[in-house]
Amino acid sequence: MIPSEPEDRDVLAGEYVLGLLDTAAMAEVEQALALDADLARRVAFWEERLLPASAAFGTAEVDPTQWARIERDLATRRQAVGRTTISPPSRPRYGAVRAAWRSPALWRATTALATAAAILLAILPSRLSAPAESPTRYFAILQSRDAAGQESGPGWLIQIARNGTVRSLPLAEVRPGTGRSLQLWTLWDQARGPVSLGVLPPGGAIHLPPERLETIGDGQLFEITLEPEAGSPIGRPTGRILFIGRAKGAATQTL
Amino acid sequence: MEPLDHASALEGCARGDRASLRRLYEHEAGFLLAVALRIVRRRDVAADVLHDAFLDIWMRAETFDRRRGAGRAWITTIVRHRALKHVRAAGRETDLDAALGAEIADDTPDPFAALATSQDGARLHGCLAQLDADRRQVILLAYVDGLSQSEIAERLGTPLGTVKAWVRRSLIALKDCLS
Repeated sequence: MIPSEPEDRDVLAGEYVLGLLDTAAMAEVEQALALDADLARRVAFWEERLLPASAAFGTAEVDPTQWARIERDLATRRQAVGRTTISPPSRPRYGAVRAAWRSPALWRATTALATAAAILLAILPSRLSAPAESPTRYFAILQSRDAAGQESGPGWLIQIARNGTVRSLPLAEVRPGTGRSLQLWTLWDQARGPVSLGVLPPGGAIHLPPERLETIGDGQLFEITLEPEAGSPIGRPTGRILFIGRAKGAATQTL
Repeated sequence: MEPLDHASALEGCARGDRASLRRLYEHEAGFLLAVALRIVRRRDVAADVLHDAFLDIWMRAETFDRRRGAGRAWITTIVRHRALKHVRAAGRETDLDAALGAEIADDTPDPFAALATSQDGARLHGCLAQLDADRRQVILLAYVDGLSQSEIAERLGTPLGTVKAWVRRSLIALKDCLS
């Protein structure tokens, strides 16, 4: 549980930087850092202010062959990432949860999925079973994300119409479990943090008021988290991120 | 060596520019290896930590955000977390004494003394100096040597609950002093 009192947050951030948290608490902070800019700033404070204590020792002598080893392994890592767009489950496991809201990789992945989107668009009208009474303003393809924070391919499609109707289409099997729900969030202001667009009704649509619709822009992040049945009680995500991705403005021409 | 703009180098890494990673390596590998060595206490393990950390830096560079913090602190955190992960997984208590004797027993500098003479360390030194010696040591044993709270309790012969309380109070005092 990430505390809300500033002093407690400073202590937690300090313990995190000092390396004093157990594995579970550390993972919780890592995950929170992706969304919680205030906590990230408190962590950065300690990282920077304590750094001189590390730097005071000077340097150790590095094995001259070490760079060649790193460079060799870099090649295989990048190839592995390159394969990701074709075969998402093969993505190497890396705990880069932090700052995921702003991750260019996410952006690139979303862009790379344009082809997939085109295919999906072809099936959308029937699956969403709604008359196209209002043209689409934005799409967002959210990537599935496992408990370790790894993305494993497209998991959810969000369609936002010009009249504010938000429809969602699951692309992956998901069972929130008894007493749990899926809640949709968006982030347009880092300082404010994620804002709820509502609990996802099974197969239904959410309607956004015009002023909220106006805040949605190209590249804006959306995520779906696991929450209590009635949605998060505190107005911020409390559960882990199940799906995450960015909005993309719909093209104006018809298919 | 020319001064390095860490943030720009990390942004280069995020774009897939290998020369940027190489620049970071050339400037910081010796420093980062010293950080890792101090925690893992074995040269072969420290070299592995450095290796894995540079792959991490390459893979995670795109999550670096210069508005949130300094690049040098960011890469140091990656190395420290790699090193901590190793010592926690290895259950260091069992081989700490042997490793201490073998590798760095006699030339381990006292971090508090080293801070006093370092260029950037004056402020941190001044704030640490305001803490009681025991509480100061708790912070440095954790940050510099990578000890867990139970390891610190054992090292200082102090109950774990006391160590936890010292950590909290020291952090609150340091936050105030360093802000």
